[in-house]
Amino acid sequence: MIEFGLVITCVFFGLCGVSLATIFSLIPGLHIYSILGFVVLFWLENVFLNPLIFAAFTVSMLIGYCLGSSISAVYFQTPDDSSVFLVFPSQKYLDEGRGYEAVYLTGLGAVVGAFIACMLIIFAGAFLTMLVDLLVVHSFWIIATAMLFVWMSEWPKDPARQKTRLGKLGAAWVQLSMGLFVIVAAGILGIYLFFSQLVPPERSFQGLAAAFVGLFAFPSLIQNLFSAKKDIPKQNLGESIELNRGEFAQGTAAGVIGGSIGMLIPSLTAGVGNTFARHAVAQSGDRSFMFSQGVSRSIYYIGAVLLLFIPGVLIRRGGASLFITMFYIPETQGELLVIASTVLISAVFGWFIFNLLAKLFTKTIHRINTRYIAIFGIIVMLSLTYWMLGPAGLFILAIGTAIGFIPLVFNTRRIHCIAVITIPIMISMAGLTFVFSQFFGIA
Amino acid sequence: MKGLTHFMTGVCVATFFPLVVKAAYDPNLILLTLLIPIGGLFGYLPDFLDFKFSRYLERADYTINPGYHELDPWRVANVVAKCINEAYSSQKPINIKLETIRMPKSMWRRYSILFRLKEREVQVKIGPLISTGLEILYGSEPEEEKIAVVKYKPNLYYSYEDVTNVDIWDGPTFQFRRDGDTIHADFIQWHRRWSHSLTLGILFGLLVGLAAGFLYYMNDVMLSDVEMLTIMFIIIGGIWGHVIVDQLGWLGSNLWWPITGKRKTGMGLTRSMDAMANFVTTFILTALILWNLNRFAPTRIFPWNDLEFIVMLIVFPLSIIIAGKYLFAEKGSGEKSVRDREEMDEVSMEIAEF
Amino acid sequence: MKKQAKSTSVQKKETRPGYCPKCGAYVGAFYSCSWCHSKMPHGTRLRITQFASIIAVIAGLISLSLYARIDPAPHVNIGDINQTYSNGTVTIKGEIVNIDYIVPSDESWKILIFTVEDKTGSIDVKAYTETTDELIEERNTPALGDDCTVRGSVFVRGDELYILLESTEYLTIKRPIDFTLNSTDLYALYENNTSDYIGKRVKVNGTVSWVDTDNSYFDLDNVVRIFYPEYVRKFSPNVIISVIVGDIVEVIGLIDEYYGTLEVLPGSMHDVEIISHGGVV
Repeated sequence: MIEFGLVITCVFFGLCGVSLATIFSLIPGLHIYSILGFVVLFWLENVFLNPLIFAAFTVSMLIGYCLGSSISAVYFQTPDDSSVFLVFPSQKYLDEGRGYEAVYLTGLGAVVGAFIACMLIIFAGAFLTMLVDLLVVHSFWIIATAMLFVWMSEWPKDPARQKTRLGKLGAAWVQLSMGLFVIVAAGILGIYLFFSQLVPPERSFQGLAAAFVGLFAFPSLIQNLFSAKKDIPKQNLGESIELNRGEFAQGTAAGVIGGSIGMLIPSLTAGVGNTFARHAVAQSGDRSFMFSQGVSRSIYYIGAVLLLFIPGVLIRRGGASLFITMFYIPETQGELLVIASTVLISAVFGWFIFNLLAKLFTKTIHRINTRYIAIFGIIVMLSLTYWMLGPAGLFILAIGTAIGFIPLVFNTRRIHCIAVITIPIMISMAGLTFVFSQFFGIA
Repeated sequence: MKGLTHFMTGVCVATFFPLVVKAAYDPNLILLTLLIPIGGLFGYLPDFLDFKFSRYLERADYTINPGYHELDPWRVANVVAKCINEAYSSQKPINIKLETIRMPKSMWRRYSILFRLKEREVQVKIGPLISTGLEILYGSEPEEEKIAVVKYKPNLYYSYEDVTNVDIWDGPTFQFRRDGDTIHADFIQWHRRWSHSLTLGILFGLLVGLAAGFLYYMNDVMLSDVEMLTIMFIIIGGIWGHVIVDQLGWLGSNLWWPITGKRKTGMGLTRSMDAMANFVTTFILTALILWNLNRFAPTRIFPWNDLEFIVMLIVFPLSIIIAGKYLFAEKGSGEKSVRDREEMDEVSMEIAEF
Repeated sequence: MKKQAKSTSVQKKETRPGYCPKCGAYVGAFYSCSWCHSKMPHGTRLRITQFASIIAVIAGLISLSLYARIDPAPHVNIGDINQTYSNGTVTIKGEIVNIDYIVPSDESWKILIFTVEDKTGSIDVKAYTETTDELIEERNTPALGDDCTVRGSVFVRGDELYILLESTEYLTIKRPIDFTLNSTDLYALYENNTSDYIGKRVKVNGTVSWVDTDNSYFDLDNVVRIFYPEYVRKFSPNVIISVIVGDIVEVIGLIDEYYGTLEVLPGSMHDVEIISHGGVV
């Protein structure tokens, strides 16, 4: 029996979590898992607090992240693995003074996604459990299939105006080959991260944080730092945002599909899921796309945590679930409903904070030099990484940044960097851990 | 059909083989499950070969564009007319490549070509700006209407009575070839010329099967007949699935290359660029994959028989989705399908989907 | 005038990033202009960045490889392992103080759990089906009292903390023999100093004087009982050491006491060797 006082406390911490995370997520390049790492350390020192409160705090921070990072992804162009595709249309909107529209649509998608995630888990939990049971044993080839399609479906962006036919072919295949190069390089980084101990053992729970920041966020920060000073034009604060029924439906469908793939299949994030989803629903139009990005991120992050709370099964997906299971294993339907309620209330509350922040940034972004924002983001990320992981963390971040830079300079897909987790997980599932460890000299 | 649909077709075909699905349950055989994504690879391969290889290797006798600044339609119309005349006089096929015009902010300047067969005129018009997602920016047309009309001499046969748009990514190609007294215009002649053939599927199936057998033999393992046939049929099934699905559309393929040399027109049964058709197909393929995974599991996870499975995972959800689309979606223009427009859109969407 | 205006407009376009300086067309982030093929102002910088990034990746991965090889699985004290070690790859050393082997009747899966203890604490080590099968096949199964070195990943599930053993190569077992005696000498020593000998490993030989009907234990010279722990029997279900009264055997095992009875617990079925049958060599 869960006491009413505990429920209220959970909601209170939820409101605190969403508020803090929405604000923190404005820092360009900051991933919520980096912040959650420090929350875990704090909680370990204060274990007298009920772990359900930690779970509520964690999941509400994820909502806050989905909302707040919409602002930083659009205005500061620093995506994470689940929002890499958001950068391109939002950049166009920013240049046209329609940044607020991009932010609003993505944020709205996040709230809708949170609602859908709750409904999915509560009402279709049994079905999802069976689906996970069916798919988990096939995860090896499913991940391989996803990676293969993401690479094969990439369109060569070179205009093919070289003088010779071989020149045209070569120019196209430089981009595609570099996509393969990124997959291999990120995979090798992942192998060392997963199969050996690069960071201090007592910080292993944050072992991937530095790599993710380096692969996805840092290259954009550095690019913003060294690119020509961009005057972000004055942004229009519209009275209304256009999103018709068809765009809403298509965006929701794409978001649900993309987020669900990331939620259900180990190591596949919403970024990979979005690749499939866009093709599956033949998504066209920027508004639908940006809305779907918000939906998919929410479903991916929040749905993954809520899966953990389905009673009687232990489905751990995503970093937040791993953090929660460091403290306790949820067992009852009541805990699921408490967390789901916290999600919904936090999403509504977070929406108001998000709106205030979005309007504030919309009105002032044209006065802000994005180089200073990039410098600030770099300093914060370096500090947090060093604080959590020490020099080893900075070393991993540097290598991740080098790999993450390849997609930017060769025009290939950034999502290939997700091989940092998919490759080692596939190797582990195939029972080849020792073989690869031997090959890479870490056996 | 869209690339994902073709890819999923290959994956789906592979999951019909219990050998590869059941391998997931045996740690010693788990690598065999890689045949499933390989099935997807071969399902996607025909388009991959065309768009990543063929189009770059196609020779173009003339490469034309209206000019970035000039936006002069006469530059295009004159050359097109000249090529038609030259194809007639020289009796050799003439290939032309129409280049796109990339603009800032992921926009493109569209221009259109229309062959007016009765008048023997080629008409080129400079159009509006269009996004990579094919959204037209209305009001972005040139201030002065830029249109050029040039006459050509011979009789031209061109099955498309509508405009050909040159807009995003890589521009289209035409081949003008003389057949008797008529010049035939083939649109994107390199597409589906050899890659979308049933014979290629058989060839790849044999090659991969033999290669797999040889590799295993080098490691002192003899593949059984069932295993060899499984590998071969997964490959063949992937490619054939792609070809057959494309044949249901409008453009068609050259099914028996190298025995035949021309594309056989499609059956026109499906609007392959239709978003709903693609979604429904992908949905059904996914459900079939789950059906196979479930029925080949040591113990069925979903405790439904096959009929219940199909009803619960295909009929029921699709009914809701399709009903929802027709009840709530905004109505279209109700434009009747026209073969030429369908064929043009089929190829355009294949390029645009990326 | 028109030409001048045009060149002015072209000049204006030249200065804008992403535009060709020669013809003024928009090119974007590509090396050369797709219209006039002239090199873009950022072209050299782009090439250098491209080249440098490839070099940086290769150099970085080589450095990473060298760094990782220094200590791929650092040794840690068991008592230090807590939740923040989750997903870490560590090495522990200690003595095996408990073994649990779970296998259903259809043997569709197996879990081997053994507890390793050092001076700072104890932790469970788990091995699942495939690894367990390999351990059994390689005769590398752990036994009580073994000194072992284990490398594995730390898993945290709520209050449960354990190390997952993923390969047999990562388990090193030492089964040192403390002394070698015959059964009567062992019994004499044990009677005088019971507590000194519990937990020690002995190589004992003697004549079989009694055999249990289930073959789960037998006595040597009526003073020492050789008892197969349950996990030993489960590890080797197909290995049956059939001893009969009168056989001379040699057993390596851990000294234990069960309700006043001196017992020697072999670590595996292979630790029992029949020297001669019923006096016949």
